[in-house]
Amino acid sequence: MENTNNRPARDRRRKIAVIVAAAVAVALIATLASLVGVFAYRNGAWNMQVDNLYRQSYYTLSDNLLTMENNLSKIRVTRGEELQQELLMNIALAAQSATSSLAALSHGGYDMTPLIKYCNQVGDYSSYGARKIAFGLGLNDDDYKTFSDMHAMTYRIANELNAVRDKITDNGEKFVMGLGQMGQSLSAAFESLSGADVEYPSLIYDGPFSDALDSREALALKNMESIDPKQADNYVARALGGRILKSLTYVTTNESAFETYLYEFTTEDGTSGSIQISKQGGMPVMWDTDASVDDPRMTQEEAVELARQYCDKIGLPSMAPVWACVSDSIVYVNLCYKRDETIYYPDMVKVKVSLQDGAIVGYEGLNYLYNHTDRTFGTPTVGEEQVRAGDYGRMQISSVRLCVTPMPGGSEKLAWEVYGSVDVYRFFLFVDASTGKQFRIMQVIDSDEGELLM
Amino acid sequence: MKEQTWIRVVAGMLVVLALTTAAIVFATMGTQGDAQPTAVLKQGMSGTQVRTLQTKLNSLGFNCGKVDGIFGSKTTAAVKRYQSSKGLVADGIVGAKTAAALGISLSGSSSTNSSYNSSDVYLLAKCIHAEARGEPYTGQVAVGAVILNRVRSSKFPNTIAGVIYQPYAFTAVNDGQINLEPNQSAYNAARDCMNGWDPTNGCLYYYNPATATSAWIWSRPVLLKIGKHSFCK
Repeated sequence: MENTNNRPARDRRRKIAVIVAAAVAVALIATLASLVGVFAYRNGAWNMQVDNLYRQSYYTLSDNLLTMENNLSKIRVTRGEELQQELLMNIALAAQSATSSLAALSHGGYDMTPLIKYCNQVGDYSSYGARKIAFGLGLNDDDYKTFSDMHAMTYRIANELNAVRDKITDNGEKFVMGLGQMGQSLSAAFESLSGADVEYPSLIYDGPFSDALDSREALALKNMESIDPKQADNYVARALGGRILKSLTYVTTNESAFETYLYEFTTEDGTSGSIQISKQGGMPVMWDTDASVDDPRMTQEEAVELARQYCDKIGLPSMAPVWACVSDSIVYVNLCYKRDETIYYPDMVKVKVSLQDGAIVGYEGLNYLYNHTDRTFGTPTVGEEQVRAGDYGRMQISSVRLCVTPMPGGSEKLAWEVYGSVDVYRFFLFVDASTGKQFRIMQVIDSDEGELLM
Repeated sequence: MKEQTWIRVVAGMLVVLALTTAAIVFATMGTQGDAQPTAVLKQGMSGTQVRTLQTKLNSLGFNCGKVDGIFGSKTTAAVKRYQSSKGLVADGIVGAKTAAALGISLSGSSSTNSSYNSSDVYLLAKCIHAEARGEPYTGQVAVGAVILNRVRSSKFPNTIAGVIYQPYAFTAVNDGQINLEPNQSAYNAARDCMNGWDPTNGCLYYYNPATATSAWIWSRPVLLKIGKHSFCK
């Protein structure tokens, strides 16, 4: 039976509890509401910032396309070489900037690569044209035709993008409609420019973005017999410098430019990693291990000699060390084919050596397989004495040697390599062995990742 | 009984309300950026900073042998001797206190002839770690090689940062995993890539067939499979 004497006190406690609970609830709701408001405000500000960044990229892209189109138009009728060089450099710079803007405007909805490729190639081809003029070769009819085609295409792209400007600016359409969604008008413009029906000019020339590089073949493997992936033990053992295999597991076949077999391996000395052997000839393509060094005990010089000996073991006896850099006590040694005192830079392999014990812990030979073949360059027109007597500013020459260097579009050039220094700065300067003109310079850069060439 | 139930309901609602508020406060505050890793020099490392350290130790009479930029056992012993002489913990690792005592800097590159820094290797290692941790080592190198192949390709931006941060190019950049600190394996893979290792031989794309939804990527001929990733051009 309920005690009625306690009821008023209980009612009072209940009232107090309700008032406290209500006050706490109101306070929490007010805090929650204000936080939601702040969150919404910030979210809106962030969206605006992102929208502005997209907008900036769009306007920068439009400006650069206009510069490209305008200069491409002028180059068609200009024959003064200094003026042509100026126009071509304008195009190259604008194309580079346009590429960055296009990349910033990318999103997951469509393939932007044809447009980016086009702008990169316009810039690259313009640089190539400027180089030709600088080396006294001048532009020819084919170049003018290419520039004319590029002008027409750039005009079309610029117009399509300009057509959406009004919709974006006047109708208040946003660039960013939501996560991963761009404004409808701009999306439609990019989509139409990236469609399969748009034929961008195919460009074959001496530049790093030339279409010629898409059709490389492995010259060193020509006429070699195919091997069976199940009978690769001997090839793998040789590629690993004579290590004794404990296990070898076939993983897959790489069907890129030339076929290679990929294996996982373990050797008796405890080395494990992966290796690729070419289907043709069973040549080592590359192998690698996740090697780390705790206590380096070797010198870099010893590591370089071990890398050279390793090349002998795998059947590449004429390789000369040309460069080495050490990173976390792993030495990456670059070796090139050497014949008649001439270094062939395109025929390069790389060997990883651990400074812990001098073990070879990796090998990379793709460039060698792509480029190594018998070739004849003849005698250089410009002699070593002439090169030594050249003008190099304040650079003190340390050495001069003959070499074959790879050119950006895949061709090769016979050159003199001049190594020297100014104060603490060291340089490799390349002189054309036919014309005596300087065409490339590289600087040795000290870094935490070892010495680099840039 | 009814009263107790009523109080429990109110208390429960208040707890839920408080938790919701706390969650929103946390979301509104946002997460702070990753703390910078503490820089140290220790055995196994190499480079310009190690060379600076060795020069300094030798000049102070703590002989560490030839100044070759390689932090080996001789350098460790010399550091320990120096630390003991200064009353520091003699662990052979050059941290902030030892570096300050020696008067050398551990922050950034101490290059003598350039403004080069190793941010490219760091950024590449971050992307490899975010995209391919847990994959076989060669799979990690392959992912890094795809990034560098893109840098060289006309179809993509021309810098490592440009390729990695191209919008919607990499899932790990979209979801923020790119900000995880890379492990040693990712660093090793990044260095191998930078030095020319490319297990894919020129591939420009990769995807995980178990999770990829893009019809376009499925239309590309697969040239190579390593671990969970299919690689294509």
